[in-house]
Amino acid sequence: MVIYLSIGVLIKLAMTEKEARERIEAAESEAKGIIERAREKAREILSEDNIEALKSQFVEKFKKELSASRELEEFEDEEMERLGLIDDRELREIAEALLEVILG
Amino acid sequence: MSSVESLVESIRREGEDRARKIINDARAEAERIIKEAEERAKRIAEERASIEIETIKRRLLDARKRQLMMDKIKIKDANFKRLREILVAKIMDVVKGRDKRWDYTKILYSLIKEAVVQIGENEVIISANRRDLDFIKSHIEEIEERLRSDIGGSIKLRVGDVVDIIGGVICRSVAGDKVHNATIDGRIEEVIRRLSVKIYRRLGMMSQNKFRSMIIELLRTVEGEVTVRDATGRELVIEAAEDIEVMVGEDIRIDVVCKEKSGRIMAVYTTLGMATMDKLDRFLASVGKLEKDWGVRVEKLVFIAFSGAQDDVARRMVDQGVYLIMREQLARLADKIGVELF
Repeated sequence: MVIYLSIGVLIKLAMTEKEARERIEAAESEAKGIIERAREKAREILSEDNIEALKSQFVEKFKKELSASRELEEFEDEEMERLGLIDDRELREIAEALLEVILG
Repeated sequence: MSSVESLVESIRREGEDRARKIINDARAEAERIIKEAEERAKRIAEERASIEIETIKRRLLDARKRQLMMDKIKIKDANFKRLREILVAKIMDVVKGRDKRWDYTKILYSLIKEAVVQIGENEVIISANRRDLDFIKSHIEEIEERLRSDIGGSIKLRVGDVVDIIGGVICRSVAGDKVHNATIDGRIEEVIRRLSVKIYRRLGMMSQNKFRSMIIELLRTVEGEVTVRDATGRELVIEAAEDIEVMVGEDIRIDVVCKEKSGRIMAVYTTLGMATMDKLDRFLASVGKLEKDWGVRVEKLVFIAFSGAQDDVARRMVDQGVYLIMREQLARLADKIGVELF
């Protein structure tokens, strides 16, 4: 099949193709910029300052959690519980036994 | 639309589509780069934080342990101080004649006799508090006569200085080279020092590990069978042990697992504190776990609570078939086994 195109049409086609190419090139350039900026941001994210700041956040969060957790309270052991329960009645019983030893 | 216009439109659309795809791909790639960086930064930060967190945790726990140890020492000292106060008050009742069970004049005489014997000379200078010294002065001949009769020889007492003591005497030879302290104050200190380990035990002032070890030793000493009534009045028979193990971990707490000679298994929970619902729940859950993991049946469950138990806990123990042993029953059990526990 033979298609006959006028020069005007050919020029129009060529110009449209050029426009399309230019748009693609502009997009490629913009894409390059987007990726470059992303890499820049990634470098910033991985910078020593940012990692240290993140680390401090984790440490702070842990400290808050720890103070609210039972981990430290578990040391409130049974010896301590016992010590807190000793009263005068028990001490009087022992004092009575000691009295016998001292004066007996 | 003519075919040329449609071709132009198609070229334009294709170009736009490609351009859009390029931008979209780039955005997706950018997002991936940033996300990866964020994840990596998080990983690195977490890794570094975990080292610091571990150090902080250890430091906090060490500080807490140290603080607890100091608190325990303070409470123990306070208990001992209070015990001494109560003891002194009781002794003052005796010394001042308010406690009719004791005759202080007899005690005073035995202290004088002890001091005179220790000095070992015929003439002795006696110092005491004002009240005792007045008594000695007013009964000096009587005391000398009794000493002569009890010890033999000729004993001469000379009244010395007034000293600030609760009771008893301090005697010295006339030359001053021999001194004997027969004061109540000295006795108190000496007895408290000599019996401090027993006092500590009787008050349950020991670590949980020490308490558990005491119970294990007690159970190891059982020969044949020992029967004791628990705190709810039920009869508990304990047989000689063939094997004893401790099962204490994060998710299990059975202080003593005792395989008796008959093959029966007894599980024991020991606490210096009070029996509480929480502790009982933990014990029952631990026994359930032991039965499941080992494929055995625990036939006797014993809960030893040094500081006692609330009524509702004791009732629940009866319902669950758990024997409750408190300090009183423990002392009785030790007596039956022949071990001096307190």
